[in-house]
Amino acid sequence: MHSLRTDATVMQPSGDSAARGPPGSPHRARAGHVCLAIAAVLLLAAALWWRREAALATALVEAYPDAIPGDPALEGWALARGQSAFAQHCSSCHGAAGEGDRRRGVPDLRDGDWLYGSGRVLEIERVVLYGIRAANSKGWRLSVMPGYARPEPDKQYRLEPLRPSEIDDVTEYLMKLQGQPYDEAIAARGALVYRNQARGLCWDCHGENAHGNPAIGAPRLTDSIWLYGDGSRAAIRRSIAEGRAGTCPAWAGKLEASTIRALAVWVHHLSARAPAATRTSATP
Amino acid sequence: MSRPRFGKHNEVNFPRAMALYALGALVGLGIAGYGLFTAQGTSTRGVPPEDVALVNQRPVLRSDFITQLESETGLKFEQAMRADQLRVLAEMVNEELLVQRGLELDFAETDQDTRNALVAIVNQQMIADVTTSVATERQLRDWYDSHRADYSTVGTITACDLLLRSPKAAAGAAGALATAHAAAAALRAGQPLAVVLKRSGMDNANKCEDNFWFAAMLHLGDELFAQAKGLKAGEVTAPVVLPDGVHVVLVQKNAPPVPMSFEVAHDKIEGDYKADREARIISATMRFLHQRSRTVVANDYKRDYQP
Repeated sequence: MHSLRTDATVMQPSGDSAARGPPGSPHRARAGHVCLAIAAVLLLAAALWWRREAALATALVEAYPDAIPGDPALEGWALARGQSAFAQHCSSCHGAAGEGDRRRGVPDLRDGDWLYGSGRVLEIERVVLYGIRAANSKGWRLSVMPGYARPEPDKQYRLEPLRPSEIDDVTEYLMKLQGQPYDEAIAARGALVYRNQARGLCWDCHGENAHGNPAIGAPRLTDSIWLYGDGSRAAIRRSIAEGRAGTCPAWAGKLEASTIRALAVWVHHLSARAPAATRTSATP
Repeated sequence: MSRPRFGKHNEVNFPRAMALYALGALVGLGIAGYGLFTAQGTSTRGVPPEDVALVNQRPVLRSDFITQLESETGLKFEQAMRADQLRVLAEMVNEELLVQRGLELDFAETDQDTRNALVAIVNQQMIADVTTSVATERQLRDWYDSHRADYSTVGTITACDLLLRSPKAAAGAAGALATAHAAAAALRAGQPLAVVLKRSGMDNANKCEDNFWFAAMLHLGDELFAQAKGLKAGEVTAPVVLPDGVHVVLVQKNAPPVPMSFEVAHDKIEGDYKADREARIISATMRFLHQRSRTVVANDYKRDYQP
């Protein structure tokens, strides 16, 4: 710091600056040049960093999505960015670690089980882009689990409600498919309702063998993974009675393309690092 | 008055000043240029990396391209032939051109399918944010507290509808009514249903089906259901004369609706809360659209028209 005495004809530095030499001295000029050089180096470093980021972002969105996990440089960059974007945009529903919320039908992203598709980065990216039942016709919105204890089980398709005993019977059949304790006679009746061509129509979405259909988001009913509830008799009955139709927002046009892809890579990574044995099938 | 002398250090270093000035100008121009040529809607010859083509500045997204290619060929993108890739790209470019031509021709005005699709998607788009949003627990709790009566289990009932069909019964003839009263008394006395049916000559019209209350109301009809819904297992209604004959209803099981706690009703509360918000948004949007539009209604409807 130096002060300027305006009442004097000659302005003199005071304090420490006097020790560093007067203004205009070679010492001070050298200090100025050093500062300029440091600023230039910082600017150059920032430009190089920005250029590298831009190049990686470009490479990420140009790459074939499913090939990214095999490219350490791209994957590493995408994971860092994807993790941060996940925390910002997705964790409020999916949880900080992607653990989901079975009370609200938010899937656990770590279990290696996919409701839509098979967990490819490309498929995950489609969900991030266009959402699920998010008013985007490119998104997944084909199926809705009807509520069979409602006067009008499905708004789009004409379906009859099931009787309370039929819902109990199908529930028992699913308990059997789960490998849980069940009553054989009731489960047998439930199998008939499940395969009924006119009422229920469970097989139409979940498949004859109840293995589900990832093309329309119909979950597999023979494993221990539940989107809603804990797989108990009461929870299964409730899903059949009340119906289900979860949603996921569409991020196309709201997030940058590279951020969306990075999110897809991160979610793929969450699933890939989970133990593969999470899914247990009671029936082949 | 003499000018203060500031010494040599205050002399202008012209080359350095110009260099800094030029550097600042270049940085400014670079930032401005980057912003200008990368902003959405900017006309550019380059294709953004996330796109596979730009058709009159409308992008064809790589992700859509890959998905369509895989869908058409049944192969993964990496396995698809270059020729297939180019064919699908050409198809997508053509599609975009045709869509743009459709907009030029204003098919929204003349083509009913286009109109239906537009109405559907605009309706969905209006509520998309609400549909995919997450309500807070506080909001749901407040909703539940102000709509408690809406949250109860669906009642279930198993009821046998005994029907004496005959023109006399339908007319409420004394003999038919007496038969129905006797059947009701026998049931109340605990006689087996099969025995009562055989002795009275009545039909088991609904085969004692179990039903949710809303379905039972439809199957039994309002009058019979109104009498049956308050009965406990084993209780019997009084005979009711209807156009098809005299009815007596034996209730075998009845579980009336019971209030649901907030926790149990959580899903339904969330659904109803969102449905309410969706309805409000649609209503507000339509009001806004009406306000900014100039709609003139013909004289014969002007007086009664309500937007």
